[in-house]
This record gives sequence, C-alpha cells and structure tokens, in this order.
Amino acid sequence: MMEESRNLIVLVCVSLYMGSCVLIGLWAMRRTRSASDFFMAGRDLGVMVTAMAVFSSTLSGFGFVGGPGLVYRMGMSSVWMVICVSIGFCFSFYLLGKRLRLFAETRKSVSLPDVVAARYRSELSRFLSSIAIVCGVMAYLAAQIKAMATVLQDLVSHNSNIGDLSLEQCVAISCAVLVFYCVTGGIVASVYTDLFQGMIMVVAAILVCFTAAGAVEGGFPEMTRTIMEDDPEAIGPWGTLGMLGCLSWYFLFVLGASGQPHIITKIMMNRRVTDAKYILPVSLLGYALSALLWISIGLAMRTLVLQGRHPELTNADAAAPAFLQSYADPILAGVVFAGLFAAIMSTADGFLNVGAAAIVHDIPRSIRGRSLRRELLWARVATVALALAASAFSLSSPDKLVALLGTFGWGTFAAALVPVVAIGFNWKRATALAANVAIISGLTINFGVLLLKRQGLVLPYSLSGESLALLASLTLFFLISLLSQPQPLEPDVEAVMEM
Amino acid sequence: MKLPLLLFALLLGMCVVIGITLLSEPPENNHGFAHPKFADSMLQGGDGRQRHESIRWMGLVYGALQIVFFVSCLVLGVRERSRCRLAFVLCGAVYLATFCLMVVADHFYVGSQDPQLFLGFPLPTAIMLYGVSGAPLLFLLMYVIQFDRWILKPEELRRFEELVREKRERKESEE
Repeated sequence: MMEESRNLIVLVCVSLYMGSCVLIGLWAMRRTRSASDFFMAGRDLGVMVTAMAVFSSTLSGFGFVGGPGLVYRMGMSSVWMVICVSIGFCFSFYLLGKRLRLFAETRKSVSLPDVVAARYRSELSRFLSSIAIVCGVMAYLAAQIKAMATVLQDLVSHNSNIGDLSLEQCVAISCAVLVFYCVTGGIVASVYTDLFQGMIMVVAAILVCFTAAGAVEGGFPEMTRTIMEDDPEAIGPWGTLGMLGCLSWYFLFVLGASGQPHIITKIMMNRRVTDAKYILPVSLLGYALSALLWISIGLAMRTLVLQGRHPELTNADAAAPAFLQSYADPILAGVVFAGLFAAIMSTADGFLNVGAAAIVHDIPRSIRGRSLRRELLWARVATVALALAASAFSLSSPDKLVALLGTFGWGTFAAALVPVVAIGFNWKRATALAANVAIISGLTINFGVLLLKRQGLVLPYSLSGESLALLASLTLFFLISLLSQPQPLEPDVEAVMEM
Repeated sequence: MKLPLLLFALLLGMCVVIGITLLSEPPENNHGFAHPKFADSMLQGGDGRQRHESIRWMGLVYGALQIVFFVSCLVLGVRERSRCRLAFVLCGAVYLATFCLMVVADHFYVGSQDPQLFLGFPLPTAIMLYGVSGAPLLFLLMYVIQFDRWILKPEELRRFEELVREKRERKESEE
C-alpha cells in the first residue's frame, strides 16, 4: 500500500516542507523592519541558528545531488570535497570568526563589500567585490534553480494524479516559495529556514546512511570489496581522477569556503563575537553528518550497478534520486527529497540576500557615495529581480553550461574574495591595489578557463582551473602587497586588526 | 622569517610544482577513462602505479606545501603568536605526517595483490577518511579551548566595546 503511494507520499513531504518555509517567511516578516534587519538580522542570532545557517548554506544541492553522483562516477575522488571541511571551517573561523564580526560591529556594516571598503579605504574595492559577488551569485543561483526545477519535474512526472509539468512551470513553483520567504523575511527568514532545513538535512542523511548500508548485503565492507575487484583505484584515496586533480580540489575547497559571501556573512550576524567558539564545532558536526549521504549513496549505487542488481544509470546525477526511488522507504524518500530541496534552497536564499545587498547597497554606494533611499523596499525588489534573472538565465542556458556555471560560481568567489577577505583582514600590510588586482585576476582567470573549457580545453591530471585561479590571485595579492607602500588604516579598523 | 613572507614562499612553491606539472608530458591515463562495461556513467582509474609513478613525488610536495600553508594561515588569525607557536607546530606536524602516511600507504596499496581492509576501507583510503579529515580537529579543539587566550582576550573585548561606545557617542553629538 505504502509502495503504491510512494510518489504521493514524497510529494506530500515536499509540499509540507515548502509550506513550512512559507510560514517561516510570514513569521520573519514581522521581525524585518529595516535594511539592517533585512541583510544582517540585526546581528542578533543565537549560536544554534548561526551554526546551522553556516553549515546548511555550505552544503548546497550540489552536495545532495551532485555529490553522490560524483562518488558513483569517479569513486573516492570527490570525497576530498567533503573531508576538506574540517580544516576549511577552521580556516574560515580562525581568520574571520572574530574579525568579520568586530568589523560589522564597529562600522554597522550590512554586507561584505561594506567591510572590504572600510578595511582598504577604497570605494573601488567595494565596487569590484560587489561585481564579483553579482557575477558569482548569478552563475551559482542559476545552477541551483535549475537543479531544484529538475528534481521537482522528476517527482511530478512519477505521479499520475498530477500530470506532467514543464520545466518552466517547475521553475516558477520552486522559485515562488523561495522568493516569497526571501522577500518577506529577508535574511531573518533565510537563517530560520536554514535552521529548519539544516535539521532536515541531518536527519535525512543519517537515515540514508543506514539504508545504504542495508541495501548492499554485507554493508560498507562488501561495497569496498566489490568496487575494489572492479577497479582498485576507484576505492583508493585518489579515486579515478588521480592524485593531482584531487589535491587541486582540496586546495580550492579548503580555502574557498572563506570566500563564499553567503556563508561568511552569516558569521557577521551572531549576537556575541565570543559565540564563534561554539558555532565552529556545531556547524562542522552538522556538515559531517549531512555529508554521510554524499558518500553512502554514491558507494551503494556504484556497487549495486557493478553487481548487476541495478541497471546502469542514464547519468551519474541520477544516483541519489534512483537510490531513493528504488531502495528507500517511501516516508524516508519523502524526508530526503525534502532535505534535497532544503539543501538547494538554504544556499539559494543566501545568494539572493548577498546579491540584493550588492545591487541596492554596495554598487550605488561605490558610485554615488550613498546607498538608495528606501533601501528595504529596493532590497525586496532586487531580490525578486535577481530570482527572475537567474531563472531566465538557467532556462535559456544548455544543461552543461549551467553545471559549469555552478563550479564557476564557487571558483569566482574563492579566487576573487579569499585573498581580499581571509588574508587581507588579518594582515595590515595588504593594500587596496593588491586587493583590486586579486579580484580582477580571479574573475578574469576563472572566466578565461571557463571559455577555454567550452572550446574543449582539458587540463592535464584533471587539475581544477578554479584552483589555478585561486593560486594565481593569492600569489599576486602577496606579491603586490609586499612591493607596494603600506597604507594608513582608519583608527577603528586598525584597532580591530590589532586584536 | 615573517609569517606573510613564509606564506608567499609557500605559494611560490606551489606555483613551481604546478608549473612543472603543466609543462611535463602526462602519462596516457592521467585522469581515468570510461568504464568498459558502464561507459555512459562510470569511470575507472586503471593502473595506479603507472599513472602516478611520474607525479607521486610532485603530488606529495604539492600536498605538503598546501598543509603547511593552511596551518600557517591559521596562525595569522591568532593573537598571541609566540605563545601558541609550539602547539601549532605540533598539531601541524601530526596533520602533515598523516598526509605523508596516506601517500606512502597508497604507494604500497597500488602494487598489492590482496589489500586488507581497515575500518571498512583499504588502508590509504581509511587514513584519508579518518586521519587526513580528523587531524585538523586538533585545531578546532584549540580554537574552542583557547579562544579567550589566543583569539580574543576578555580585556581586549572590553576595550573594543569601549571604542565602539565612544564612536557612537561622538557620532551622536556631531548629529
């Protein structure tokens, strides 16, 4: 009986989840009275809310759909993107946990470019960092929206009661919920839905891990043996990608998190700066538990296909949906599908917020010296406009380009912002010139590699182009700062940097 | 050597390694190939010894430089650098040693006829999953335990709050 209604149960779970997000949006609307509330939640978030927002924003739809797909396709290679978080989160918190929060407090900053402009005393740095954010947001958001619509379409197509929906209709439905809570409640809705979404992700991942172990007789050791008999390299530490490819991912993902504005702006929102010491372990634990889904589904599906117990997948990204449809209990499948939407939406809402801040607050300030009047109203308009533009972009781009743009988004933020933010906020000698060159070089190299890849370029050893862009921008940042004259800092900025 | 100079030197080292790699002739199967039976969706790595032989040292150096860079960057965010240096060096050494152990274990794994499993995975994979991933938790522990001494002292925080209050009062009086 339950099996017959599987798709209906899944749709009910997803609908309940979407409905809860709408309710949270309505509740948050009453707490959003100013632009500071809209962008920074009044800097009054507790430890659990901030920690769950940090981890759920880090693990996007890519982690819940693309991650298992990558393990299925190339074995252990993509696990380097998971194991990097222990040092990656430490990196972000050591370098930014205290500093960003103090800058936000002293300058009443409502966005990352606000802090960049204060640190470097440069409106050009504010402008360039805002442009980098808008470029990255558009690319990343388009990929998230496409992923969300594709999953919804797949779910609906399995349900004969509803009939087929077009991809455009699925984009409209999923975006409507996302935009509703982002517009009404701003970042307050975003972080409280993140809390709810994070909890769903953790529960879903733990249950899936046990289900995956049960789907293959003999559990994980048997999965290992089956994969090893077929190809020992796939279950070795470098997977099928190879040593240098995995290490270039490790470099990109360890450092990259500290350049993701939708993640690090959450660190500016906690109530007390000393809360950072509790937020770090909680967010890391949440991520580690959620990542169980990434590894377990990928290994289970590769094993089941190799053993001939499941037909070959049409594409690797189908690993997670195929596993849930075939091997998970219907209610668990419903919870995990809700978790999947949670993973996508918790990242996308962060993008909408930082993108809107860049458009209505930072770019006007860098050009006119002041932000727009009635900033709260315009922030809501910009949120809708960004979502519409990203939806149109995702629908009009070929599938492969959208996937590439997703990686481009992470790489753009990493290459353009890691030197400027993570290093520059902790090193007084770093100069505005170095920051501007790092942002421009990060954007240019990333974009250049993307174009060359479209022309068929394949880097040897599967080196990641984004990691090369990050290495180049970091090196240039140090070189130029060491060669140029140190700049005087504002007294309050200097006081924060000496702490 | 000053910390920023060390960081710059490490980055240059990584640039050199990547530069040599990009200029060298890669082996035929350097990033896997389509699975002979499931070609549409799955890849295989093939002979690990053959494809890693020429770059294992390069990879070891690249990974080691990365780890030293990460740990040195963490020190950049610490207030009392001279007092905590020993703790960071020791924890960094554990992290680096774990990584090197994994590379060595992998060297023997690719040539082994009957590799043994450790905690459900081949030994090098187990070291990666539990060791390379787990070693940085030492830094997490230090952050949590030593936050009030190494990251932000309570008296500094009070001074900062004073500074913010003065700034606010000055601004209000100007308005």
